[in-house]
Amino acid sequence: MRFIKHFWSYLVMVGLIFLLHKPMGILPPLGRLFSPFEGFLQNTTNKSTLSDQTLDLKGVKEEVKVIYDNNQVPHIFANNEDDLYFAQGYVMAKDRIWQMEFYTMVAAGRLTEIVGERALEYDRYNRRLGMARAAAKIAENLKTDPVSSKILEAYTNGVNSYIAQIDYKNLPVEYKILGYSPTQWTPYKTILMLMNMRNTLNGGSDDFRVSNVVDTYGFETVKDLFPNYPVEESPIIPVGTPWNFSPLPVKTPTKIMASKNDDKLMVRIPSPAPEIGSNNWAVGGAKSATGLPILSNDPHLGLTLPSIWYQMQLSCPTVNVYGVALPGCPGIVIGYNKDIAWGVTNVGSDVMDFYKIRFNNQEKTHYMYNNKWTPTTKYTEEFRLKSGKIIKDTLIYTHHGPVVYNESKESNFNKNAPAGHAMRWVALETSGSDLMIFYYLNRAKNYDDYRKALTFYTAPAQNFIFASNQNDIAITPNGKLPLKWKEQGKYILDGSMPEHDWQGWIPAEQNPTVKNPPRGFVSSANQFSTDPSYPYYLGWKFAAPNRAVRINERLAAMKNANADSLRSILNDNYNVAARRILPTLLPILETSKDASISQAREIMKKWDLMNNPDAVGATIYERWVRELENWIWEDEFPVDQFMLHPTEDRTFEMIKKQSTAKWFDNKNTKDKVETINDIVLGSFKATIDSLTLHNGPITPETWGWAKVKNTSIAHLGKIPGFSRTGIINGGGRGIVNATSETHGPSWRMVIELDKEWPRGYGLYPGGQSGNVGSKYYDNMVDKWAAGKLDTLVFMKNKNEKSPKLTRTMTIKPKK
Amino acid sequence: MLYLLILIIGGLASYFGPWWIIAPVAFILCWWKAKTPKEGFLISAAATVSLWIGYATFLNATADVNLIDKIAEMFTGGVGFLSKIPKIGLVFGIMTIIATAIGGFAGMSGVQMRRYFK
Repeated sequence: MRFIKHFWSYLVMVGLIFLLHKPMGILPPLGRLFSPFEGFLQNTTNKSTLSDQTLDLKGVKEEVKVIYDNNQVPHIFANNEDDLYFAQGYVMAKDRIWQMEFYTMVAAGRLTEIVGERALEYDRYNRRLGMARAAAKIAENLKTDPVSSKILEAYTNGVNSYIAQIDYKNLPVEYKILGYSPTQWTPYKTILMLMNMRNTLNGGSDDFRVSNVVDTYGFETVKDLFPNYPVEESPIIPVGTPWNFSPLPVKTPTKIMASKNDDKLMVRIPSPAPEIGSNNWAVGGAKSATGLPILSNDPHLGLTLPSIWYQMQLSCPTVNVYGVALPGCPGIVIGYNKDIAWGVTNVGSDVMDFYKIRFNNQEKTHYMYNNKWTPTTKYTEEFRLKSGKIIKDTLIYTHHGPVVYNESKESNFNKNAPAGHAMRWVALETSGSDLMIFYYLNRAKNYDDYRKALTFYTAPAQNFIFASNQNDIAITPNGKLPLKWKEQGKYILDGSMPEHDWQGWIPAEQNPTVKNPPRGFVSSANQFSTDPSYPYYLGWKFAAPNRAVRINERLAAMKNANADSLRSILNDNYNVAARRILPTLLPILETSKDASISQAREIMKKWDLMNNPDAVGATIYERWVRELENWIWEDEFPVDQFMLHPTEDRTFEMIKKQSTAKWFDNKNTKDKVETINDIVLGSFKATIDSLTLHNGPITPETWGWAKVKNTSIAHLGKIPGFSRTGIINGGGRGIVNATSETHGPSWRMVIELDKEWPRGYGLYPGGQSGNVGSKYYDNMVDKWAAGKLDTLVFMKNKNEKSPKLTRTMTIKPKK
Repeated sequence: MLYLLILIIGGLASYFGPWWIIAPVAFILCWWKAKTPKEGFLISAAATVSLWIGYATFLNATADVNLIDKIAEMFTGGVGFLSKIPKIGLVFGIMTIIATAIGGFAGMSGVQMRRYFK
């Protein structure tokens, strides 16, 4: 008793310290986090944080100067390439280490280790996609590639040099909140980061959904409602561009789809995200004020803080380049040097296909292929939860790729054996080195260098746009594109038929490309790469043509262009889709006598078709067209039954030209046959009712497009206070200014090429620092929302003086 | 006197050591100086809270960005009754509770243990 009387307070104290030192469930380690001496307040910054600095680091050979400008962009000047990439790794880790590691945990399916069980299903999905295994194989292959391995090693050493010296106080606050710390960087992690991009840009498929439509309505309906080329299109390679090659023959088998299924295929493979895309364009000298090309690029991705991009200049005797890099990857991905500029948009061809697999038994040791039982390969996946608990999952591979989905019930192949679906996906290709395309583009001097660089690239296929100060412009949908018969992979394929395997690859030199076309500009906005005259099949569905149509209209009309004229296209809010469909819809609205919609109808009639921030017409249009599409299709093609709706292009065509189509009838109303007018009016009224419910009576303040759209930039780890919401800007899906609720231009860049020295303009919706306690965490957001660009500081050499340069970090070799 | 000793020695130790170093400091100083467990608790809790809130106020005042608001939002998500509390109050409140408990029980146990051994 006496012991307890005298020791209880001691035990309480020790117990409290123990409890508050580590995370508990979803709670962060409260004591450590809230202590001003170690916790989050140590992540605050002020003027003294940003002063000149000299570091002695092991691993650099000679002195490296890192000169920061007033936007905290590092300009790295090294005397050799090893030091250059070492310093790139070091400064990137200094600003973004948490983000870099987080992406690798996502791609490797290891989020449970840092956030716990709530990430298990997400992790399981990412593991089943097989990204980690492919990344490990690529990293292994690259060891034998002299240039890639050299860059990766230098970059890795730089990151690790930073990690080695970081103490708890200076850890990014996310580590403190989640209660873990960074681990060694490796080249494998860099490849995982690239895997993330492959998944983001190529990791979607509608194969199951289209197959469900075939099973329900037959091939004729699919041919009618899901055609292989849209009615309105303005393809990337201008129509009429000749194909100067003899194409490889591709034979279409008689059976083009796996056998019918008893039930709908309920497979949670995401559709290709319509908001993931991008714009790029370049005008030739004939259209520009200077007589030399101007190039522009804005990749559209999910908007996050910290930003997906990091601006920097890399300079050493063999290269001097400015642009944006991906956190975790050496080199510059989109940028410019003295002679050239380049950019990328996603191609979006069909590079993810599914094969129905027939297994021999419940253990799935063999599967049928070419009339033979072929052995499968099995891997055991281990998920470590934050609590230390381990959960296991078995992954089965066929020669197509991983089996991502197992039917839980008996299949129609064999009553006793299960069926599954294996995935063939370009992202799991382990040949080549994607880093090399950027290595060579960073150093390119002319069109030939650009063409040579393109040959190194695998995936995700991108529309590589190019401009040089020799007055060349070009664009090439580039990457490994599978050789397929027409419509191969539009439906689920039969995994037992060798004819259903990918037939090889389109020879790289036969990828579509165009140089200096007569129209004087090149452009892309994720639309079809070519018109149907291209001899190969790339896919049946690409992004809606709206952005491409608008960009090409504006560029065609443009004369004496300068950077500002291209900037105005980046911010173009014109709604091409509305221009196409409203002339048909508005007269139908006129037929209604319903007073409750008259005010909204008048607004629509007066709307100038601009998705501007204050436009009420844009709000009504955007919400209405979504509602209308659901009213037409959702009864026959319910999304929760894993069916696909026809595209906007097909829907608009039907509204304009097939007003008596049977699809307008809502089949859920038994005693009534709805006409197009019923659907148009009903959906309009429903839209207005819903908007009124959420925003009250119509006023410009409450119904303005920016207000309703509420563009937000979420923190990568979804920490509420670390996000930005309620950003006031226009644009939207299918608008050139492609800013939707959660996605948008993740980097905007305009480069005026010049014989002497190029002029660059750009910014992204975030900031250079990944530290939420820094004012450089989100300092570019407001300027971005306003559609402005920063003048980029591209230095000729390290001795160049500019009032924009604020401080220098000198890295010296440690003796 | 005891208050000042904990504040100064505890402050120095906290600057260089782990976040919980204030606890052994308060423990030893109260073993040496405090008369009753109650006094040990109150004085060392007061010193720890002063130290934490004082340093936090200084860091917050000299910072470019108000990180306290962001951390508060992390807990409240910007909704619910918690979001009605001023953000700095919420964060300083949590800090005060932790500092009171750690510092207070450390000081108290210093006195209680001294009595056990003497």
